[in-house]
Amino acid sequence: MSANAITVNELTVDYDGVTAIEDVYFAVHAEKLTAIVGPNGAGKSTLIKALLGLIPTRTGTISCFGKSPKQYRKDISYVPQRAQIDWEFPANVFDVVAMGLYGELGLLRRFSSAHKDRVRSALTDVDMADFATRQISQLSGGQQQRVFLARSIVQDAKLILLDEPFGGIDAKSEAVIVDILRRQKQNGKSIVAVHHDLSTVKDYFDDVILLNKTVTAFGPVNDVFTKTNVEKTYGVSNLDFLTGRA
Amino acid sequence: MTELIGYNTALALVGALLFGFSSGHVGAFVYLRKASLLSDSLAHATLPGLVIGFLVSAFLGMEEKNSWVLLLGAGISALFGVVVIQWITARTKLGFDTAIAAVLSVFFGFGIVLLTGVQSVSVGQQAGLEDYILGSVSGMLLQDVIVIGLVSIMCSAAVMVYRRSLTAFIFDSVLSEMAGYAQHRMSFLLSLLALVITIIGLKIVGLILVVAMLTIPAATARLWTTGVWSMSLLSAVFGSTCAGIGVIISALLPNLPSGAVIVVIMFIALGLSIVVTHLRSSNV
Repeated sequence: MSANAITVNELTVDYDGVTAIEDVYFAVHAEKLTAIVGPNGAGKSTLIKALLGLIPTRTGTISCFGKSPKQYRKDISYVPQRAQIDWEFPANVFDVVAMGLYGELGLLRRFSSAHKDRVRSALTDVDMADFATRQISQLSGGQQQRVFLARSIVQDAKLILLDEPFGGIDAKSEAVIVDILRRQKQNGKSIVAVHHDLSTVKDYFDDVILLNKTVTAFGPVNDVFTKTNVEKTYGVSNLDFLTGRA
Repeated sequence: MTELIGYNTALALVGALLFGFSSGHVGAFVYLRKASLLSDSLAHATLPGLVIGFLVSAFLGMEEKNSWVLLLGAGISALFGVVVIQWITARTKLGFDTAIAAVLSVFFGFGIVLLTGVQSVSVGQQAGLEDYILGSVSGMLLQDVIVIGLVSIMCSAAVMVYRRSLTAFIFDSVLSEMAGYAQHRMSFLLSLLALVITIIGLKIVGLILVVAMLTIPAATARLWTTGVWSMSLLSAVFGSTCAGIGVIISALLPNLPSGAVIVVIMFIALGLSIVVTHLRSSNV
């Protein structure tokens, strides 16, 4: 498959009165795992919000599977950063995954047993079926992330957008999540994740977008994720390539 | 029942049961949204409108207890308060809490000034007004109960219809936006429900304490439940029960404002719930 999941052209977005990203262009290939990598303040969150159609753009175009932002909303599922969620919210694992179906259910449609089966099947996909009735406040970081992945799976969107899926979770959970994402890719999903750990970019992802207000480079990790490009993106030299520390 | 407590109290009881149910129902979502303070300032911001409504109805020669004009005034005034809060938050560097505190105190202070003015001109006639500050069910009419009941049922119905979108909006606003429920629309819906509950609750609990109807039953229900749906229903049941008991007690012991009695009863329920759920969890 060489089709593009996302095509972005000359995109400039202001956020809080400041130009956050400028003249950004890239393409995300369908059915690939793509990382968005860049230093703090590079505009990664702004880019995600723009892709989701949540903030206005100044110039440029975004298309997803050939559709405009308003048309493609239901083709994207979004996995937020864990820190953005109130984990004391009264909900169990099943409830949270079921929220993935709210868009499809609308206001009045009954939550049928077929819907329940879909939620259970998504929980099985992320190996969380035994935790269905567990309160979300009682989950570990890795489990919380897997619940959100299940929610994303149940939405059955073509593109999964994740904001730092590995933030603050242990190595074992990270491996489990990478495994889930790879299986989703095999199921035909396109996956884009904001990622911070430079040492794992090549292991986890097929493609990378290097961003620091503008796109430094994008393409397959083996071609693009070079020492020169990464140093250019982070604006430092002698970057310890494996740890990402200058 | 009417023989036991009197026609008037029976009317008030029906109103209180329905109002308590819907305020608890809506309150669960206000509580989860952490918007209790906003509701409180909204309630206090009704006072200037209430007094102006009173003056208008007196000027037009209507009965001074004509609640329609008063409630309309209260609604407009509270809405204006919310607009000011949103303007301050969006356009200045002041925070949300400052905006809330400013609007709450300034609107309420202005209302008190107006009220004092009214009292000095027309002694005795403002008796109807004080009912809206601390709550009184003694003068409740059949038409009041019909309106309170119908509006309560409508509010609860709206919560039922929008339960999924409200839940998604409060838990993860991006998810609700992507599912087609725009954040500003959901936020407006919740504020509108809180406003309507506040206005119809003025008569029963009064503007100073109406925020308790939106928060204490919800907080109590939160202790006992682990899901939004069960929490909102339990909150509605708590609200209804406490409002009902409060109205009966305040009718049996004259001169006790119904609002204060209801709040004291709700507080007892909350206190007991805290103790019992704490003991239960420490036993496990």
